[in-house]
Amino acid sequence: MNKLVIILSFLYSSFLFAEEHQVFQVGKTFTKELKDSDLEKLKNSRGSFVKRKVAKEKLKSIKIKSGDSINFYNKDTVVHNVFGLDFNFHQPKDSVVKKTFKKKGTTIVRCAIHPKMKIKVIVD
Amino acid sequence: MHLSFILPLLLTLVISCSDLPTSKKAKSIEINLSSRGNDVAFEQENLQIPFGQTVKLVFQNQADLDSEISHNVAIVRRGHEKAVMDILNKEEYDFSQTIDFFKTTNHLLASSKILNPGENGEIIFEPETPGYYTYICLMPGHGNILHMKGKILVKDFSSNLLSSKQINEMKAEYIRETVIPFPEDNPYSKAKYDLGKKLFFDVNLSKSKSISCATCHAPQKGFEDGVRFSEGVKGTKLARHSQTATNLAWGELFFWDGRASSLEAQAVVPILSKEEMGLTKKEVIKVLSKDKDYLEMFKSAFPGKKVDLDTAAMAIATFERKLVTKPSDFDRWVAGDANAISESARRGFVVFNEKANCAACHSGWRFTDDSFHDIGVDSDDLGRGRVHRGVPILQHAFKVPSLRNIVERAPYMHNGSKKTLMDVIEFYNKGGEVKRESLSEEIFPLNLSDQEKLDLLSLMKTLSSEVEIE
Repeated sequence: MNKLVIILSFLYSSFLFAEEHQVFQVGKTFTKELKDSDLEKLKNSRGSFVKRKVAKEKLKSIKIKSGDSINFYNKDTVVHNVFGLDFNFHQPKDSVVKKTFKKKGTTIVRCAIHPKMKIKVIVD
Repeated sequence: MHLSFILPLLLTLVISCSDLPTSKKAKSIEINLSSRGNDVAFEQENLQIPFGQTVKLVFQNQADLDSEISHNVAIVRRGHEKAVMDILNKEEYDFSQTIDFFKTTNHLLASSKILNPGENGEIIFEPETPGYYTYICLMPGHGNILHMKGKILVKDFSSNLLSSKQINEMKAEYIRETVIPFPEDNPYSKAKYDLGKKLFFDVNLSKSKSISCATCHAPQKGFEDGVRFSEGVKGTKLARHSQTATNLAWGELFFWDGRASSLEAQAVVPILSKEEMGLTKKEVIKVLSKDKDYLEMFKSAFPGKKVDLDTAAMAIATFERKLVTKPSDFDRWVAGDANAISESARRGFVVFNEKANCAACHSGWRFTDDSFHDIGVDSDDLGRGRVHRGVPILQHAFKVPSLRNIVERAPYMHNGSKKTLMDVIEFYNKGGEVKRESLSEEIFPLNLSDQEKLDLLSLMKTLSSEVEIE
């Protein structure tokens, strides 16, 4: 019985320990999670402040484990559409979509509307 | 003092005082809104108007006459959105009772009567402060459950409100990039550049030996060709207008629909297209291998590699990445020369970034963010919708073109349907010519004054500069 539990927990370890990662979309860029106060500031300011802040928080790639998911939060002032090889999500403002990555390897997630907005997802 | 002197003076004062308020009140604006066929939705969900004017909103219920779908439109006072929704979400709901109830509150700025299918109704209101205003249909379930509502952005555009600090922050968005990015797998070399240049101007790369890349991307025409649709080797017109070949080192996806992911991938498509230059791979290699100059140039550009389409594409892409527009008057102004552009162009810069909303997509020093949108051009072409078939918002969407040398690049749009830049400005001012589900929410009627249109044009004229070919 003990053995079975060990085997089962081993089998389901990817489920048990699957993590959720948070990726924000701000200023037509994928960024790290930002505080509400920062987001408020970004929405109310124009120009170089936004550029500097977003550049600082930009996420070019993210490493996750197989079975992990990424929550993509559209915190932008525009509509986005994230897509990868096997998915495509429409994202109205202030919406969040969750994508679970199972297949190991490197894949690119892009916005189909704003192609400069891209992130490399490395699934280990 | 003698009375006969004071009296006329007093009169003049009275006249001039009474004159001012009336001329201010006369400032009003009319906006049109309609329901979306038989859907419980507004056709337009984003509107923008300037602050300081009385607004006349004309609403048309476009539902079929036999559909029995009635609507109403009301403007919610800013900050009262939640209060209104709470009232609408009450379990028992009677329209006329609710309207009567609203009259006892200050939640609404205006509300229309019930409008039956085909009926028009108007409401008049004065926005109290700049900001977002919600308009909503108060019919049971329409606004609260089916989200039949939209937003009007009331914006204060008086440019004197912008401090020089704010304008400088805006200018900082447009500082040129100085280093040309070359990809790791195709770094720059002079030998590749020279080869790419020869290929770019070589008519032998077409079946008719009359068309080169430069035929449709001509240096003297902003690297376009000045006609609506270019002609290919068969004499047939192509489906889309030629796009400039400049400043593409910073580009992301290529062609109007973004189907090529690199300049290398893009470069050979027109050569091999039957409608364009019309050669086969074999024929291209034959042309290149027969020419002694080419053989030598390939050898020095790609030592140890074959003469083939991949290397040819790498060379053309290298040449194209160096096609950078030199600093223009606009860049000199951004760099600090306050008089490099006219006062009209300086005003135009503020209009471009604010009221006209151009910078929502034409942003950065190349005046594009490389994104794709349906801007409401009357055309059946699905554009990027053919690449992403299942994505509603990409149907009829095309790449945002750069505005560098835009004066030299007429006609405009993916189908060359706009002859002049003023036609383009008028097009945007109307909020596009076709309203579709895919229409970008950044497109809405702009209510630009004649002066603001001319100011935008003045700004466009400051973006012209040469491109150096070594």
